[in-house]
Amino acid sequence: MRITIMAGVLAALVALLTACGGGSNSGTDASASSSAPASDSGSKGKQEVTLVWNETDVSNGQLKVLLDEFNKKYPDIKVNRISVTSSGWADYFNKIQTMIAGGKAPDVIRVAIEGIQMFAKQDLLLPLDDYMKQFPDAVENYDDLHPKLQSPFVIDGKTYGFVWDWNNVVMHFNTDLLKEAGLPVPPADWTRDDFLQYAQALTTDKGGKKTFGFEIPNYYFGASAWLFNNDASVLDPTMTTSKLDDPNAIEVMQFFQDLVYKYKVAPVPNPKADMINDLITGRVAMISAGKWPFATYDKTKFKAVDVQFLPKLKTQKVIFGSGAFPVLKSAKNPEAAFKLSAFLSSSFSQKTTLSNSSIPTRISVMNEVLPQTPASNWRVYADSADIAQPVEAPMQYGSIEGIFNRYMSSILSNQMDAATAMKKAKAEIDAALAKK
Amino acid sequence: MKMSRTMKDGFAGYLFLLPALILFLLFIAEPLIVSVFLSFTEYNVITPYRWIGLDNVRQFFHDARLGLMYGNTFKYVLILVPLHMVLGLLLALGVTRKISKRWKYFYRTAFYFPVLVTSAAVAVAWSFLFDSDFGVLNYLLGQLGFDRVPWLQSPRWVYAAVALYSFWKFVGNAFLYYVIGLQNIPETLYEAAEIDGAGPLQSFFRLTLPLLSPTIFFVLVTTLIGATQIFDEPYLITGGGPGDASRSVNMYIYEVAFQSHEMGYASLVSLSLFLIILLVTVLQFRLSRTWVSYHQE
Repeated sequence: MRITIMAGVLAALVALLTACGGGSNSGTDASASSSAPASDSGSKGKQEVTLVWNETDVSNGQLKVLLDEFNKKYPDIKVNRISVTSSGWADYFNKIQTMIAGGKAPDVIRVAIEGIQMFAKQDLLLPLDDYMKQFPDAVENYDDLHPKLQSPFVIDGKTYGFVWDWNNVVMHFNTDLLKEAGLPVPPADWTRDDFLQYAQALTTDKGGKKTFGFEIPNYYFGASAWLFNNDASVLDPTMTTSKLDDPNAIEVMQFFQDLVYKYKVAPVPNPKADMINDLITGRVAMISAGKWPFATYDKTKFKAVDVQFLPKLKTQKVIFGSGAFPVLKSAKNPEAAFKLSAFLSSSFSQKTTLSNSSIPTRISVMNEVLPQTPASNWRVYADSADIAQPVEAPMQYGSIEGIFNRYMSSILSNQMDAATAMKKAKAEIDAALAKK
Repeated sequence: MKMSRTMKDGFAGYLFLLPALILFLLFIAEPLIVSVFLSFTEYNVITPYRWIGLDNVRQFFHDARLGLMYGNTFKYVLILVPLHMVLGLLLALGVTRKISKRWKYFYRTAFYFPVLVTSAAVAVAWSFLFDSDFGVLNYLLGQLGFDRVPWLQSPRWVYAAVALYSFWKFVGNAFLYYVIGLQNIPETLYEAAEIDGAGPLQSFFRLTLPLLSPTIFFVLVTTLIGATQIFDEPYLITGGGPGDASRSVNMYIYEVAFQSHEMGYASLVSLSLFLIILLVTVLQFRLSRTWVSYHQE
């Protein structure tokens, strides 16, 4: 009897393991369906589309306005939103991948440039070109999308999304602190020496209240912008090897370390610091960030702010990151998912959702929305679209960001000199890039 | 055919075990077996796994960072286990002594409350406290005439920061077990000892500690396993930094699995951590025979 019971338990175990053991294949479900447009759209009833879009990007109220408008055009498509909380892009993409692997793949996902290669190269995304031909009215004036900002979402000649938002990195100033120091907003062509003079003049200690001139951007996108300005970068143009051992890259990282420990014009970076809050509260006078701090400025009614290009180092370039709403190949209703993806990049969508966070990607909307930015120098956002270059994000982005941030933390905590850290970072990044 | 009494009892026993067995199979046995299998594969979650034999094992023995992570984890064990065990016991002794019921309830709630608070939310507040330039802790130290402490920037001080947060957040667990253990020691034993002339120290070492030994053993095993698997504290407070200075093995496993998408190698490292914990726990159980007493007579 005991043997019979044990045999029963073992049989149950085998059945259980068999049921749970399909994990390796479940992920491929995402690429199982055909990329060819469906032809029987007219015969379908109410179609459901699952959209991953965080509440931090778009509130429930904004989304309702958007979907009401969407349903005026497409009344038979019901959109269900999933909000995925994450600690950054790498974490966010990982969660999407886990959803796909777990057999709960969404249909349309918000993806920034940092993840588009990863999803596309793993054959998870639906090319949208055939749908664009079949439903030409779905995409509102494709030529109005800024071609440079749209380009990351066209891979190997295939369109994987329609760019919705973008950001660059510029200098934000607390203008009250500038006034106290008797400084104007610097000109667009200000230099490294000008920046250092500003940082020194803005670093004060009045009655125990310490203010630092500048807060180091200790994250991949922000630091990459400074590297670009010194004619350096994390990766080479083919994104197959790292260039962090380049003297220009080392020079930028050493400059960051010197700002903290030699010139003492920047606080020792705290991994959990909130630099936007630090600027608002006057703990620091300058931060480098994109357009996104304006959402917080708006919420806190902070008006004493202006912006300017980052200082010119060896050169003066502008970085950009952009985002779109690609459709997964596994979408149950690919046609409906395509229509939603296209609608989310429309003028209506951009005007509804991008008033004070990211920058719209439609040239017409940019011209209309950007002048409302509460900063007299708002043109630095509009003017940089034509000259910006994309943040480097190959399919191994998660690993590379992790390696870069780790060595940057060693530099900024003064545990390692910039040259040693960058050489080690290069070796690890090259090893990560070698893995497919 | 009639079942014998023994067979009936056996069947009932297995039925009672079934719910726990199902949970064990689902959430412990199955992941363990899958991890063993994945250790010999290359698997990134999305594309099907590929059998790569012993490649992950070779990587394991050549992984310079992994040694550092195990070293860091060992430091956490050395710091956190005595911290939670000793201070948890002192706090429990404090609230079971002769103080009014009202204060007992107050202290018990106060010491256990942080365990109930969401780690991620309070960790943000603690990281602000630890800020070198703007943090409250350095402000208070400055008022007392001390230099600023690089809580999150120094490879040494970062352990003090994690220990402080860990103590505040989790000492309530050890404290609660000790309180329960202390309450199970009959008061009459202390009264008899007092009549026999035993002082507070003698009562503690001759009565409290031996009678509390099963609880101490339980707290030791669970705290040691918890410290070996430490993740929340460094992940939320230090991010593993500066550099790799405070990164634990569990953090490393998470990053290998979910940043680099190397599930196969992450499974192998997980297994190595599992085997170490298993070995240490078995050793603890063996040694417990020499100092743990389950008899109260």
